[in-house]
Amino acid sequence: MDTVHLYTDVLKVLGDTLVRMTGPQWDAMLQTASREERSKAATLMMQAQTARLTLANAALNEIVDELRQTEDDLASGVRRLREALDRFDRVEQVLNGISSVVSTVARVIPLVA
Amino acid sequence: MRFRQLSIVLATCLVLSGCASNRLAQFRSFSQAGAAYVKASDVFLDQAGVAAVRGDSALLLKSRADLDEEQRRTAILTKNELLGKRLVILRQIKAHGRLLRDYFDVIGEMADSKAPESLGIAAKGVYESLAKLSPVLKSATIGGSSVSGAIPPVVSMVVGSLKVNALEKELQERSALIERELALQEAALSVLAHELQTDLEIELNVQNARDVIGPYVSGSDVPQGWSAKRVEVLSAVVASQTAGAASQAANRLRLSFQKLVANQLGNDSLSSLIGDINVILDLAEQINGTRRQ
Repeated sequence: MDTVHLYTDVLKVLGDTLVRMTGPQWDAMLQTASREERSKAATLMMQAQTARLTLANAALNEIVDELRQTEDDLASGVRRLREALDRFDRVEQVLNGISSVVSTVARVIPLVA
Repeated sequence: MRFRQLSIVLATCLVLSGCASNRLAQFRSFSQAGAAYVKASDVFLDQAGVAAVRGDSALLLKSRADLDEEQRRTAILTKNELLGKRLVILRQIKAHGRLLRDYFDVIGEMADSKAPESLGIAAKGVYESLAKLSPVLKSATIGGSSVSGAIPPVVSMVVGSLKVNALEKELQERSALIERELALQEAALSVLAHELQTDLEIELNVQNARDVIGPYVSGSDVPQGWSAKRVEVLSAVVASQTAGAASQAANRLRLSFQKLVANQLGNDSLSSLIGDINVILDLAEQINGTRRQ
C-alpha cells in the first residue's frame, strides 16, 4: 500500500498543476504569452495529464490485483452462509412433512384400533 | 419441583433468545449498510469514469489550438488508450463490488429470515399431531403452561442461536479478509476521489472560462441565462469538493465492521456512514444536473 500512497502524493501535485493551468489566472497570463510559450504550455499540459492517467491506472491496478486475491475467499463465505440458510429451510420442510404424516396416522389409528 | 426447573429453563431460553435477536439485528444493520455502500460506490465509479473522460476532453480541447497536427494525434491516441484502461479497471472494481454485495446480502438474508418463527410453528404442528396419538402429551404442562405453547419460543431460541453461531463462525473465519477487503476499497476510492475531484475541477474551470468569464469579459452582450449558468458552475465547484465522501464511506464501513466483530455495533455507528452515502448520491445528482444543462 505504500506505493499507492506514493502514487497519490504525486497524483495530487499533477492534478493541482492541471487545475491551475485551466484556471482563470493562467488564462490571463497566457493572453500576453508568445506563440512559443503557449505551445510549450500546451505540451506541458498534455504531458502532465499523460503522467497523471498513467500513475492513477498503476495505483488502481495494484489495488485491483489485491482485490482479486480475496475473491475466492469471499465467494466461499457467500457459499457457506447460503448452505447454512438452506439447512434451516430443509429442517422446516422435514418438520412440515412429519406433521402431515403424523396427522394422517392419527386419523388411521382409530379406524384400525 | 421438576416443573419449576423447566420454567427456569424456559425463562433462560427466552432471555438467550433476546440476546440472539440483538446480535442478529447487528448483522442485519451491517448488511443493510454494506449493501447501501456498494450501491453508492457503483454510482461513484460510474461518475469517476465519465469525469475522467470529460476532464481529459476539456484538456485536449483547451490545448488543441497550441498543438500541431502530429502532437494532437499523439495526444488523443495516448489518452484514448489510457482512458480505455481506466474504464476497464473501474469495471473490475465494480464487478468485485458485486461479490462484496452478495456477501452483505447473504448475511442480511441469514439474519433476516423468518426461520426461527416458522420452524417453531412447524415443530408445534408435529407436537400437536403426536398429541392426538398420546393423551399424556396432550395434557403435558410446564409450570402450569401447556407444552405446546412453549414449543415455538424454545425452537426460536435454538434456531436463533444456531444462526448467530453460523454468522459468528463466518465472522471469525473471514474477519481479517473482510477488513482487508474494506481497506482496499477505501484505498481505491481514495485514489478515485482525488481523481474525480481534479477531473471535475478541470472541466468546471474550462466551462467557467467558456460560459461565464469569456462572455462577461467580451465586448458583446452577455447571453441569456448567463447568471443562472454562473450559479450552476460555482455550485458545482463547491459540490466537487465533497468527492472525498466516497473514501470516507468506505472508512466508516470498515469501522462499523470492527464494531460488529466486537459485538458493539449500534444504529448510531451507522448514521455517519449513511450520511456519507447520501453525499455521494447528492454529488452524482448535482454533476448530472450540471451536465444536462
